Amino acid sequence: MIKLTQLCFAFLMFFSTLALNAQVKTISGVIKEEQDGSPIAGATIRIKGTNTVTTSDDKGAFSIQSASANFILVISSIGYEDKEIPVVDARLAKLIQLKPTTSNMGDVVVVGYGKVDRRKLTGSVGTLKPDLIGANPVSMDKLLQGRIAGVFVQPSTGAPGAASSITIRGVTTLSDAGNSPLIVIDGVPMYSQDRGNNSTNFSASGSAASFTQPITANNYTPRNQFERNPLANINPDDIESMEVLKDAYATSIYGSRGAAGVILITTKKGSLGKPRINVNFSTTAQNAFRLPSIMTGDEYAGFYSSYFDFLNTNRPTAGWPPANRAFKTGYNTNWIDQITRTGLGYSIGTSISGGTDKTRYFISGGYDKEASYIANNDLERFQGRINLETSLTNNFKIGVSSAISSTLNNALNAQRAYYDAVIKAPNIPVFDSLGLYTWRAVFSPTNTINATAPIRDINPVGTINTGKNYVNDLRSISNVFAELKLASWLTYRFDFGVDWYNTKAYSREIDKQGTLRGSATESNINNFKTVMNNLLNFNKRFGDHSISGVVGQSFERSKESATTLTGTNFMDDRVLSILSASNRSVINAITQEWTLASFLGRIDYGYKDKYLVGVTNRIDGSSRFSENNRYVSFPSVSAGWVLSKEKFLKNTRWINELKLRGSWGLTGTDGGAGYYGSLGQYSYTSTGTTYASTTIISASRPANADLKWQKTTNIDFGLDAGFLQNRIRVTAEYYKRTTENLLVNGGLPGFVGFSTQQQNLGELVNKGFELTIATRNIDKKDFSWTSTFNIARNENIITKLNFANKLDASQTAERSGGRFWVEGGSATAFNLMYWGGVDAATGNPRWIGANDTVSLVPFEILYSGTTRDFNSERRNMGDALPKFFGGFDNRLRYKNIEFSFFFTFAAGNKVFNGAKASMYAYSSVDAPNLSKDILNYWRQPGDITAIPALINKSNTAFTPGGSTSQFNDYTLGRNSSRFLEDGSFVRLKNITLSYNFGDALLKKAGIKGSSIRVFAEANNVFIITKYTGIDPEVSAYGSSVLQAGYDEVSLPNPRTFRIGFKIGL
Amino acid sequence: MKSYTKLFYIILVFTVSCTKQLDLPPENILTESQVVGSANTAEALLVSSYFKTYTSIRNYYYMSADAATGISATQPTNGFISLWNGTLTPTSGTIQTLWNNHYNAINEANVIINLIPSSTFDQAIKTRLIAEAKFVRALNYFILVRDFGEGALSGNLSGAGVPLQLVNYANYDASKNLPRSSSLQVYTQILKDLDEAAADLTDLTTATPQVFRGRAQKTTCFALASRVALYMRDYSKAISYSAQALLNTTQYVLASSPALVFPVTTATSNLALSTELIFAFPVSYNSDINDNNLTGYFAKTAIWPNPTFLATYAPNDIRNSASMMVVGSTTGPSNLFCPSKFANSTGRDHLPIIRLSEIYLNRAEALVRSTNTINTEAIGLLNSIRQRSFPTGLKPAPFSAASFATATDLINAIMRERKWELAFEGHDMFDMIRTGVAPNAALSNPTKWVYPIPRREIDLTNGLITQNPGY
Repeated sequence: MIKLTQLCFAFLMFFSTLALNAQVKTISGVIKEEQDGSPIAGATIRIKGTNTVTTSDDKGAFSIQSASANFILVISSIGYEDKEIPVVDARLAKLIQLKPTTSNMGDVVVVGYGKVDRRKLTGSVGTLKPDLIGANPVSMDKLLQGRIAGVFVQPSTGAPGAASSITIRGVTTLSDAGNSPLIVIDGVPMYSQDRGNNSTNFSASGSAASFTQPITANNYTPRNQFERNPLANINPDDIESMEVLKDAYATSIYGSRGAAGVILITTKKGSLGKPRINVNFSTTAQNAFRLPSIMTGDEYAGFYSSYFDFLNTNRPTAGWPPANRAFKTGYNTNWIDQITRTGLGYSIGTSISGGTDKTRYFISGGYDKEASYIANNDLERFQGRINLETSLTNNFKIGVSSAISSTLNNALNAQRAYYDAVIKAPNIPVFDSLGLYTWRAVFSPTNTINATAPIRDINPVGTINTGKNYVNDLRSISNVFAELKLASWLTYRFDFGVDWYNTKAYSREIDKQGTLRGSATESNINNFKTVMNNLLNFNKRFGDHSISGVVGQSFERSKESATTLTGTNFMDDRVLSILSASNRSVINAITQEWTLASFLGRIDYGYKDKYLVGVTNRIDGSSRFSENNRYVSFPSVSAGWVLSKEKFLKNTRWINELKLRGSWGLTGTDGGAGYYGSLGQYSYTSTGTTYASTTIISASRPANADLKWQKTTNIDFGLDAGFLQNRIRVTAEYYKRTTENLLVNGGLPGFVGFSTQQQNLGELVNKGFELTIATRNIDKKDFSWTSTFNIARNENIITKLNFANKLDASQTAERSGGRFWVEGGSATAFNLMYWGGVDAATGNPRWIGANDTVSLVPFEILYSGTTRDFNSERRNMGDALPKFFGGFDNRLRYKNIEFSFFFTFAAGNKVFNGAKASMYAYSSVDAPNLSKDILNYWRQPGDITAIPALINKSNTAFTPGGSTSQFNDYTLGRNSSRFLEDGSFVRLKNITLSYNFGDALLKKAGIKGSSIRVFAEANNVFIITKYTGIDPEVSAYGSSVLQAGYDEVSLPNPRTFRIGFKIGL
Repeated sequence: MKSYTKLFYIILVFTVSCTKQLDLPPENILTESQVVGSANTAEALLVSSYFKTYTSIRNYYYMSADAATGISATQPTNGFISLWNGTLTPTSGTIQTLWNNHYNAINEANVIINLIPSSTFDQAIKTRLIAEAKFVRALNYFILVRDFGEGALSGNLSGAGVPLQLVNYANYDASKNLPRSSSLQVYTQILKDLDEAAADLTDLTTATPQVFRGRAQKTTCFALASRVALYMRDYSKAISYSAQALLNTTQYVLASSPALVFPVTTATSNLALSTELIFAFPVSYNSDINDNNLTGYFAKTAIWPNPTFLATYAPNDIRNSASMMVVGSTTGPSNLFCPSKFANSTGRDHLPIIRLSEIYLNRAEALVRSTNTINTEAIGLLNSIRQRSFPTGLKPAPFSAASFATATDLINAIMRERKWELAFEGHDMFDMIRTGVAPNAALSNPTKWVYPIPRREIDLTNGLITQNPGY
């Protein structure tokens, strides 16, 4: 209690400057290295503004006399950062720690359950300390984009709060859940990217929000789903550093969850000194980067009128097409213009931090609003954080790191409205004569082309202005810890952390023809995770030998609950409660729990700081594993050799640092197999099916006693070097990662009782290299220029895929959330039917078979009813992930002006331009709006064009007697290469100019020790690419890297302009 | 200081004890041992195997036997037409689905048959569940061997039948893949299962109608066995099984008119089950959105009774009267009818599988075929089916031994009656095939009388499972 009072008192002290009595005081202390606690001899200790100086002795001890009780000590030592310590009331902490300077490459790296001196690191860890001269993006995944070699971040759409996929060193498994890295924030493994868990449904009506297209098998239907970005709940301004763990040394200690890499986020802590207040404010204008070019109302009406005439002459069916089939002209609604705007958002963030010798604190709070360029679609976030730690005794420290946030995302409709605006008939006004929204899709004299076509509501202006569609995340990621120093070299630490993640999603469609009297869906998701760690950290030197590391134990428990309600038939559009619906049902109610109990250890040994060895291991026991297979061990070993400390290089002046390192180890993936992975599972149907009045429990998943856990073997060789006084720093790495026992849905002969099962069928390899070069090109007092360049190459090969029936299993995989996987190909390859353009003589599409035979009939039709499988004609047309990718950052400073520009690039990747496919999908059912390109369709023999004849052998419109309601067009299938394009790009991602009001200027204004910086920045300035769509950096399938590379009218990333200021007091 | 240390020890002990919490059962699923471990869940699994059998054969799989022989007519563009026009290919999804669904049901029955004996709940309940599962397994194998078994209907029982999977799935081991057993082996297993099931079952007296007629009783097993024996041309067995199936005359009673068996109703649940139904899928008692998918009959646009066939009924036959050939959908074609057997607009009609009248006809046929003489009991059985099909006062003269010149004449009369009586109930194509008559012109080649084995099965077993000749 007394200590608590002292604590409070200590706090108060920071907020006041007290004048104290003057008399000569003797102050003493000990200076040690922050990392390993070794004493620093010969450090200079000066009282600021005086000539009083002393130096530290062998043990780092010093004493100094001062006439005043309140002053500032300036401590400096070669190889360490200068430190200023305010002395208040003649009191000074006994222990003063100095941080090695970064120019020595001696910075500290956060690794799993501890920290390591980068000079002694034997693993591969990429570090990002966000220190942009402009403002941070709202979501931290955008911060990582292009910054760290080997980390591929791809946003799904430009909608605020939409998920990104993060892939570290390539695709690790062939199941979606296993490819997202584990993200650990201040020791708490957080709920992160997971497409299944983070998707919320749009509308309860069940009917597609938009058109279906006349497309073949593996087509794309607009999904009424929004995948939330779980990283949008974290305030990037709070982040001190992000460590990306890439190799076995770094990831094996996360065991069964380390295979896809680990991202450690460390938040800011207070540092010794008086309170520092930071205020950041910025305002953002967001615009569409570019908009698609589609037909006007008159062009549209003209095209479809003639198309229907054409159908009438070429393919008449009784009573169809209708006699009065001319489409109305005269209205030219530009739907995209109607829904786009300049979105004005702003961010305000403030923090206060500081500390005494006993207590450090960092408190922040902020508000962000991100306004999409689609009207009425905004994301708002409030968040706050308190990080506090205090020493109760010399040996005992406790602390807390706690953040809460509320994220309200009203931007769920952005993607849907954008899609609808692209395809909605433009010859329709927004409102009808009664002033009501024109929901009906088409507008011909009969107002309906085909009486049997489903009624669909489509009016993007109505979509963004009516109903309700939001998802609200309330989240707290917090932890408390206690640390007991058992000996000078041994510390015991106890951690208790939680990730409390509550989400409410609500979607309401108003009363309109497709959802008469309205419909609504409400989901409540409550995820709660606790983690407890008991860790013993040690760090000891015996002469030339140093040993450091950690042993410990971790226990994690997660409970995930979800309920979903739907209602239809509402009394009134204004009453939102589902209770007011006359038809209500519960469509989901589930709670799942899992626990993970682990033992872990890491030992780093160094001899003369020259020869380094690291060993780690983790044993994971998971409730999700079957009893026989519950505990799995994930070891790693690594070694490093600091050549620059060898005699033969010690005198080579231009080499400051040179280290070779290598590591080997195992990591695992616990996603994919799920609960009771190897046991047969039985479940109730969601509809509560009964037979003869008895409820049914049926087999839902076959048993697999042979199930093995996926294991990834990681090999990494790296080189860290610093040249010319570390003005050039290079890290180069080569790695090879082999995942064995890959879980894939394999085919079973039906007679065994199941036709597919997840089995250990495959093996894949990722190999590649990474190169990071950081240079200080110019380093003068008034002018400096630094650059950072990183590039990574990854090659992914599925080396083994024991599909018993290859084509069949590959096609099944393609249709169930994977791809058409082929042994020897990449996990993200496009294996497609080869489109050979349009036959000039007949106007039919040409299809080129596997052995270059040309067919004017698609192989799907040609082989139908025969024993030949059209899939055998597929070929590898490229990869959705780039061969090379990276970023190039430059920062220039002239006096008080700073200027930075940042490029990201990717090369060698392909994008399926599904947006174009949608805009080429002329249909007699819905008559969607089209690209103007369609007007170039083949008309007569000899026409050379990329657009086939409107009725051709690749669409079933030519089939006599076929259905009039739906044509299949094989050229639009996502399994053809017609719309596959090169997605390589170079993008000027950010350009920022800032002005720093210097000390002198501020002094004149009477503001001391402060800084004011104003800045202006532009993001997504331009892109150089051959891609004919708008943005090659989108993905229709959210965070799923396995389904990357599809642009399905996905909302392009916006261009933003931002101005703001940062004040430090 | 010391107190802090103590605190840490307490925390340490607490967290170590957490590792005992690794047994967390998921809330939404049961594991295999849990399912078979209690009577309620085991029964839930058993009804699932019934339900899976139902989902396998409803829809066009059920209608195809009538569409094939011209009892029903369909659009030439019907998506299932390949089931009866000989155009099925080994890669057809239709055939793969049929195959997989039946084996899904068989696997659930296998789980019950093989795993329940070691469970600890009430022995009487265990016995009953296992016996019912054997019935389900027999029914599914019967459908499979009938559809896929080379020669299974044409008397060549040494031909390849289907793989006889009698153990539940535990894991996949390609070395344990099964070849196709001969049709005889499959038939033998079916009869073995039915015999064993019949021995353990009774005709429940307290069961609800949907359980009594929707699940296996003793009589159900004998009834199915009588058809199995007839199909495999073992007429003496067919005679003895049918005799046993006809023993219970209190719970299985022939209705006085066929119209009473299939009343037209617009109700959507708990439709009456006629006492003539020995086994039917009680669709209207299933709380499932899945109807019997036979509403095509109601709509009359996808499938409808063929007027040519209806013309073969004698005048005044109730089975072609307004009470059994009804209007159906009023928006459908007015010159077509809808059979009252499937006249429910929401597809909730029960799906009849075995009716008492079929057992009469099975027995009559077996009696004549076994001795190839004009059997008077057979004539009596035929009369009871025929006489009730005409209204009082308009009944034709009963048949007598004198009505038939030869035994073949009597057989022909029985087969004709079978066509009329069991029309739209999925029998005719098999009756024609087993009597050596091509069901239609497109199926004139007897190799097309069985479906192709799905290509995927052959590929996945590296050819261990063989294809039927002609595909």
